[in-house]
Amino acid sequence: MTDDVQDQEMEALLDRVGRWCQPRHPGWDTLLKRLGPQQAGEAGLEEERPSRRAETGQSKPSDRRTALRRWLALAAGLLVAVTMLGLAIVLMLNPGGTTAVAGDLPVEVHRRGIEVTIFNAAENDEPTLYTPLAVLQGGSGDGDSAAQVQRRITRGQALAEFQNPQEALASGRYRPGNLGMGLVKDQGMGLVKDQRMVLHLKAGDNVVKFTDVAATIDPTSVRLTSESDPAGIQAGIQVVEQNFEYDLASGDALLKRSLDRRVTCIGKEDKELLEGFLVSYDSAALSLADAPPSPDPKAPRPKVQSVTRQQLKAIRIDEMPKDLHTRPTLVWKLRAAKRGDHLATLTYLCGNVVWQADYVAAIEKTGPDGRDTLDLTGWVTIDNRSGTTYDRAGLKLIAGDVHRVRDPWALPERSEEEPPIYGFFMGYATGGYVGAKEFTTKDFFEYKLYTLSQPSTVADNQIKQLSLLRAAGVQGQRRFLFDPARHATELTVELVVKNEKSNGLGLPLPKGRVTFVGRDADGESHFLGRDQIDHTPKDEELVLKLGRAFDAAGEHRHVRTEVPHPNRRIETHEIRVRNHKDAGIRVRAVARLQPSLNWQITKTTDEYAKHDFQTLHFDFPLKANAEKRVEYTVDYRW
Amino acid sequence: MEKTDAQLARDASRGDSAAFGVLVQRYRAALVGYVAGLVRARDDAEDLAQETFLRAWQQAPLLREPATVGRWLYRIAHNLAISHARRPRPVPLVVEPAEPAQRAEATDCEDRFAAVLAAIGRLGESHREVIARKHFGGCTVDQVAAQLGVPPGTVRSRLGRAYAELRQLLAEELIQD
Repeated sequence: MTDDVQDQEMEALLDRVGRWCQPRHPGWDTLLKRLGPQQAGEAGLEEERPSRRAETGQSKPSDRRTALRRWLALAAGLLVAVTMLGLAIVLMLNPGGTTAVAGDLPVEVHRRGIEVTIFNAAENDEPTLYTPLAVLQGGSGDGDSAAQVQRRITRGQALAEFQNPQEALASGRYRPGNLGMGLVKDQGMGLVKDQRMVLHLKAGDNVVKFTDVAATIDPTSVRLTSESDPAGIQAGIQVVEQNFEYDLASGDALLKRSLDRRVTCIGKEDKELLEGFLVSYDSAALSLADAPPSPDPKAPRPKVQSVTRQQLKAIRIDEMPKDLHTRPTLVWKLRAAKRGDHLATLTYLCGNVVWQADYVAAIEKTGPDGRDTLDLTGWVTIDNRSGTTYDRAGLKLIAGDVHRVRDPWALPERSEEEPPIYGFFMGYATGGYVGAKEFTTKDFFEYKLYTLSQPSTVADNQIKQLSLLRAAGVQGQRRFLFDPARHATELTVELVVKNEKSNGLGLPLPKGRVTFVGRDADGESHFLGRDQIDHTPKDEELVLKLGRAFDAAGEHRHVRTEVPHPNRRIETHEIRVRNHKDAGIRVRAVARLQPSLNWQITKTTDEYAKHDFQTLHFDFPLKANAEKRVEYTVDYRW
Repeated sequence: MEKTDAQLARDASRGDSAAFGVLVQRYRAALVGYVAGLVRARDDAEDLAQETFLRAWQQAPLLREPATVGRWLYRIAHNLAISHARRPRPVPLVVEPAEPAQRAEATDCEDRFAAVLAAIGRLGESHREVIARKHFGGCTVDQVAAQLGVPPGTVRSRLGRAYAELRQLLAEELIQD
């Protein structure tokens, strides 16, 4: 191989390595802003490392200058040592104090990794105080502006402002219904493990802000641990205070903070309509005074003028209030024993993130005795409405109904006379979640945990589907169920599938919806039906309901009754099932008995299986275009 | 006309953050690569490269020979990488591994790149410099020549010798493995 070719290969390799080394870290964007003050003075690095002077090609100084510089360096070194000693003494004497050193860089937080464990929707999910409820209307009142300033509020916020739902709606600031959020019911729960690098913590107290947390975070579940120093021995960080700032900078929140402050109303034609001190505002109008409020009672009363929101294009506020955040933010006061960077893990629970399993069962082939061959595909559907995006997150899904303790701050019980009001207070008005406190009844290890093999991004307000399983050639037995107590003449078609390894399955199947698809004679796929399955362990039987049978019918007759004694009754029943198909079928006929009486089957034409204390099952095959008659006699005593 | 590193370093030492920003642009990928070759962890390398520039800015007024700014940056990065290697490792977040085949492929690729970077780190300064500027900084030969204040032919000959030396270093490493 010539040198040129080898050089070209090397160039190509180096180009690839070069691309791999291109900066990706977000900190590069702010690097220049983080530059601290420069050190002053002439004595420096080169002096501290004389051996490097030769490397840099500097001319060799005279011996006298060298000696002088060495002495100066020694003196400087001593000075630094004394300063450090003094600093150490100050630190020891005042470990909790703020000992900010000049030139401290602002604290920065960068995400290093995130993992989300999502619980499937449990039947006992209940709203919490932090559940997003509604969208706050604001802006100038016209549709577009109102849409721009809409925001989520929590139940807690609503409660803080209003006594009841009617009052909230009467204020005109709450919009009933659902604008993109699962507002009616708190659906699902997730456990978020968010690893972040906290840069430039100084010794003492630091205010650290964690943005990009879920809007539906449960602040009481938040836990922060230092990965750099878990035991807190070396540089331990201690959480002194934690605040969850969810008062976001919406239009109304800005106006609320601007009361008694100077605002400028801009008209439709970009002209200033009115300037003054905001006295009041609502969805229709703003009132402005020509002077700020004065504590002096003798001061002249300011003139107040109103302007309707319809006249306005914009409202200008001189200064953004400091206590408003553009995103839900966790604000910590962290006390660090030592300055430096920390790798910390934030763990919290959040609501409105849920997953469920969805299955598609395609019936590929049907055998002569009603045995179907299925192609079963399982999907996981994740619905994230938690208010944040989980970027390249490790995903874990837990199947099993986790009981959740009702929020201790939930609303008080209401009387039943009060009618249900609107969507976001539905749970409240109907008393839907008023009841005894519940506690977790299962161990964690009784659930099933599904872990996604690769990180995945789950965006806010996104429904994401991931493949769960695929099993081909699964055998299922079609069964025609005749239960006269439910349907007098119709038979229900069921598919019985054994969840066994020998049948191509043998997997724990999480609760979910099954959609059946079948092929007609031309090979076209058609929708056959839909059913819901519960969590099904391996080696259990799945009974899936498809729909009603067209070519089969049944009837039940109470043939006769004998009363030989006041405390005894003998009944004879007859069940007939007719098969009008050109193929044989398997049938299960259900006989219901009176549960409150002692019973005994004294005579029967067919064998039966006792399902429970009041139900008998007669299983039998039925040939094509044939009828089957089953008669049984039951002896009741009491 | 592009400013040379020496001119930029001189301006930076007088507090010109814009000039320092140009230096950051020129050297950041090279430093990430250099540190990645030492610590064998790309994320850590980026953190350390940033820290290098922050330190360099603070100490820029103390730089007596602006022409040696490149070597000076590499020295700071080297010292930081050594300190980093002595530090205890943080516990990583437990994330399920990727598909075995993909993970093995990615790891192989990263290992190969890290080996190349380590070999580049062992090159002489003049060779390392031209490789870093051309392949990491994305400069043309003429731009590298302008930055270094040497004729383009010199840059080409240095590159040729650097490739040959790199091939030899990589072959040695292959034999050792």
